[in-house]
Amino acid sequence: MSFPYTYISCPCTDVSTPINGSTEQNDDEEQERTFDPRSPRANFSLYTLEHLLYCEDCQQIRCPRCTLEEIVTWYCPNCLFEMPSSMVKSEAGRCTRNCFNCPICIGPLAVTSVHPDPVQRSLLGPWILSCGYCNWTSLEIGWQFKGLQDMRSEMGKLKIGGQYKAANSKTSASTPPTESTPDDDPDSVFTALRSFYNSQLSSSNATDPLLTPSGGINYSSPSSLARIMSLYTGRSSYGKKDPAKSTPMRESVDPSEGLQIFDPASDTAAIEKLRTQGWTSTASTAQQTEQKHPPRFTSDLRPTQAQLRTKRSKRCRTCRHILVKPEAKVQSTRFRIRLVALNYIPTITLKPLQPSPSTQLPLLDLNALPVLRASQFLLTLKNPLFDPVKITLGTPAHAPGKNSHKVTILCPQFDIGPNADQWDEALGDNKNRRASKLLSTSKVEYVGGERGKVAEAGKVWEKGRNWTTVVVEVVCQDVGEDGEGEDVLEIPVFLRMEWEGDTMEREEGGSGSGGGGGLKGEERKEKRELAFWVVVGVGKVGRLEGPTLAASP
Amino acid sequence: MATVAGYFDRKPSSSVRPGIAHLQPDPTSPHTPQQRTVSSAFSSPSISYRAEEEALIFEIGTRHLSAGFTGESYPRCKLGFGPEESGRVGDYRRWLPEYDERPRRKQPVETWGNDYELWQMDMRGSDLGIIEDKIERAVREAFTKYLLLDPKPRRLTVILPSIMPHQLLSTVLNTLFNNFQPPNINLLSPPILSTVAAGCRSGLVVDIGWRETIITSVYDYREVHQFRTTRAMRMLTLEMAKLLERYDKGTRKEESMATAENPSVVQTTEDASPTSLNVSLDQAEEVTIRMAWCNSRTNASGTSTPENTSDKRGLEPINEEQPNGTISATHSTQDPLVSLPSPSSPRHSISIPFSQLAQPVEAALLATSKRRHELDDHEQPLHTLIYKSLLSLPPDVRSVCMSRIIFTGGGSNIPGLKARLLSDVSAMVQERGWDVVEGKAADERRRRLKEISSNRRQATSTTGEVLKEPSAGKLGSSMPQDTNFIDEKLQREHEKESKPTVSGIIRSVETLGAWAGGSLLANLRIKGVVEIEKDSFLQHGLAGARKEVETNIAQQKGYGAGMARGMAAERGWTLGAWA
Repeated sequence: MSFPYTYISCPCTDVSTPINGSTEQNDDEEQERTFDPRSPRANFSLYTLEHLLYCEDCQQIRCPRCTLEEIVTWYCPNCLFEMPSSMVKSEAGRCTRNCFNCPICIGPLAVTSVHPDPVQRSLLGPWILSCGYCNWTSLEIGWQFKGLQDMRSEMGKLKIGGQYKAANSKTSASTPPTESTPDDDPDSVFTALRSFYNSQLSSSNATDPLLTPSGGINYSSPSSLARIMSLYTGRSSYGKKDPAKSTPMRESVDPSEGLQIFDPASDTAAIEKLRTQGWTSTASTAQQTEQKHPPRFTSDLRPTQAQLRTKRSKRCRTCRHILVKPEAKVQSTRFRIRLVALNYIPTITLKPLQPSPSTQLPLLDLNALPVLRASQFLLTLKNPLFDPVKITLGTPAHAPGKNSHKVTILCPQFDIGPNADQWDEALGDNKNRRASKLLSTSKVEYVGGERGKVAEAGKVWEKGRNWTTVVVEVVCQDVGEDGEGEDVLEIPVFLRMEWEGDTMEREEGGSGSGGGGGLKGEERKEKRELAFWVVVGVGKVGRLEGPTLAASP
Repeated sequence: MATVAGYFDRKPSSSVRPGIAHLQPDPTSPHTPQQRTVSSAFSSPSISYRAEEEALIFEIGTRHLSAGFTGESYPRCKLGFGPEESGRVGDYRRWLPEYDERPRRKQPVETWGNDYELWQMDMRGSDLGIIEDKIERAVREAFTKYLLLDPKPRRLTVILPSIMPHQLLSTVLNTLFNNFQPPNINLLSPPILSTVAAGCRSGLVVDIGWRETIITSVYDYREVHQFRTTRAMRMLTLEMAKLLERYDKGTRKEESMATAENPSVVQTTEDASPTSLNVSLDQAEEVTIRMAWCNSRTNASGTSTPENTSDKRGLEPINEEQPNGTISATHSTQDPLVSLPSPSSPRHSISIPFSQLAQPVEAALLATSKRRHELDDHEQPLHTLIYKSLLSLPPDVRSVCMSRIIFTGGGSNIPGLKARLLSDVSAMVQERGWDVVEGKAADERRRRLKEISSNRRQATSTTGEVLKEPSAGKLGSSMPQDTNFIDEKLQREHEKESKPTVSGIIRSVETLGAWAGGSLLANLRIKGVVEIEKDSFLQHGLAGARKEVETNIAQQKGYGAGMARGMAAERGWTLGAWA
């Protein structure tokens, strides 16, 4: 991410405590405590504005941690077909159509025919999968498909190299252990083990530790049970089947039951392959994680079925109101409900205020901020609400971290105008200065650039229709050579906004509203407030250029 | 059992049930658990089963969270806890092209890679809040991205190491209960699950994990004994990082000097143990996973230490004077140069002789360069520890366990390691037998005893031999035993119903891993001893667990630490092996 950037800390620092009950306390504590963007926990509560939602009932920011998600639709990102929820689990969350991903570069694979006659290629197989990005084809692992219809199940039967697996585990079980080698397929080992345990469980009896709870869970002392039975039935068969003397479940003894004896030969082969083919023949960890059973070599990678994605609706964890609800149709990108924070809390942007050309100081470079010299930045807040908002900014005098950079917001209290109709401004009284009032983040601004304006304490730098810009002054300390992360200047800013909003029609719900309670069902203004920490990433602190550098004028 | 149930159903219960209560032995006796809620036995069990079908299995370790459904042979996802995963949401810096070349901080060796771990067992100075955050984020990602589930309350089976601080356990459970609302959580312990996933009842589980290698002897699904050593994947990856750093520096220096010399020349000038490293953990780990290998026993004693003539690796130390120059010069076909991407810049590559990539394994896991007396108890090399743990077992358990050595954990994927460990262990057995006493005096004494016994044998052709021959095959059977009719009967029963079990030879059995074992067990509807209900946990926390008595009963009943059927819920819950 390039500088500058802004992150917002969701007030739900601890979801484990119910947000509803302890808001007041938390607010008090938070105001006393400075938010430290460097602490490792901060990473888990900081979000960009685009990732945040806003609950109107609780009047609070909602982050992914304090929302509950519900899946609306499952769909394949490749073919955009919807998958019914009943099939999602049985298909392991993968697309059932011919959507496959390349095992090498995870690009989507295309199905192409390799029929010898080019005319019939569009109609007849055999078919292969090929990657348009890295030119991998399934021929590299010897895979060709007979039909287009059931490629997925055919793929399940194929081994690397193109042979089909032994037809059935049951038939191979009856025959003496052959060269079928189930060990290259953990799935078949797993099924063998499971069927083995199932058979053992059904044949064994109550003493068995691996007993299904259906029998004897309340009569789990076998000797007492045997005595009862002999008392009441008098049948001798129970005495014979005395559970105390019967053998426990045995262990599996051959490969058909899932036992695999370690064979050093495979390891030696692997080492030889490593020796001869080197680094490029091995699958990277990223490639391995895509596979069901991570293989060592790239030659053993299989194409993967496309992982399904979901459309999810989100609810507030506190009041359970829906915050986001997308349309169920896969192709549609619309939302039925979408309460994103972007529409409720001000957008915060920062840009450098370049020193006046007359001072002949170098321009501010965000990747190398000047050390031991005041540099000024323009902090702009843009109001998305239709009501005017009163903003109070607070920042610790020294940015947290071991290099305490001095930070001053020259005008910590100001108002932002409402996000009313643009025409209001255009037709308003000051239409001659309209152009300068439009917010432009790309324009370079200088001290004293227009009409000799200089940053002054307590004064707003510039103000527009629904935005206000104030000046932040930073004096960086020398950070030395510390490597990753240490030289980044991030300013925590506590933002408190107050506005008079319309009360909702229904009864005031949730918590977090600071203002007085409104009367039910009546249209009236209500005072509201919202407060949260913002972290502004300014830039990287540069190196001290030497003793010749003059102090700031 | 159906007949029994049917029998009681037909009978008027009034006369039967007092009878049962009458016949119960003393409740404190090991045979009889006290729960007798008869009424629930005949309620339709299918409802609870259907709920169980939905159960999820989470395996939480130091580095990864694996999550998936019961009855599947592989987890749906395996998520890390590294710095990439614990960054800020919306921070897309790592997709930028220059991300690989960003300046990295030198990390001191002691804390190298600590930020990749979810927890440290040393709890001093660790913030439980971060652990909570990390687990919460990983589980949420697993749900939304891989399991594709609604956060509907589901049963959870959580596979956790059984020895962990209560604070950590409490944090893990708290996070899961609070954020994902499972009605209850089953705890299972990894070694037993590995045994189950290997198809065995007993075995010696060697879990080469991240921080520690844990060697657990499991007998009849019970953890009998546990040894641990810090020689595990972290140490191995660290050694690999040092190796990479040496060669990286070597090639860079070479470039600057513009000489085309062998990198090993430069390498010799580097200090062997740097205090901080530039190479990051993911780089070193990538190389370890892809390229690390282990010499076989004959190769290790043959090539890497040609000047060391002694074969007795178990007893004699081996000097680590690696003849690098000679190897890369002479056996270029045997020992080709492997070119790896350079850790300092992805555009360059470094060349390392193939044999060097086996060195970290030797140094970290097998400690071939260290003398035995230099090693502390917590850093015993793996083969010694396997031998030790076998030695500590009673002979019958030992004979079963030694032919079911189960390697699992990340380190078990290193090609050649298992074979090496097995051959090292059997060499130690060959050499020393199963004798706890060792050393020169012991050898002398043994020699003298042998003399005496051979004398005696010559004289009288004796009845009972005093000395055990130190051979693996005769293990446990050398002691003459009184025959006893119960034993005979048991033996007969045993032979009738079961196939002969392999014992007494050193053999390794492959396992599908703890996660698959958990999936198997949950699929067979077997619960662990430790089943924690949400409400009672949220009320009392870990303090709500009952302490000792019931656990003991459960274990005496023969259910084993991880395998007992759940105790009745209304009677509270126990922490079992996690207590």
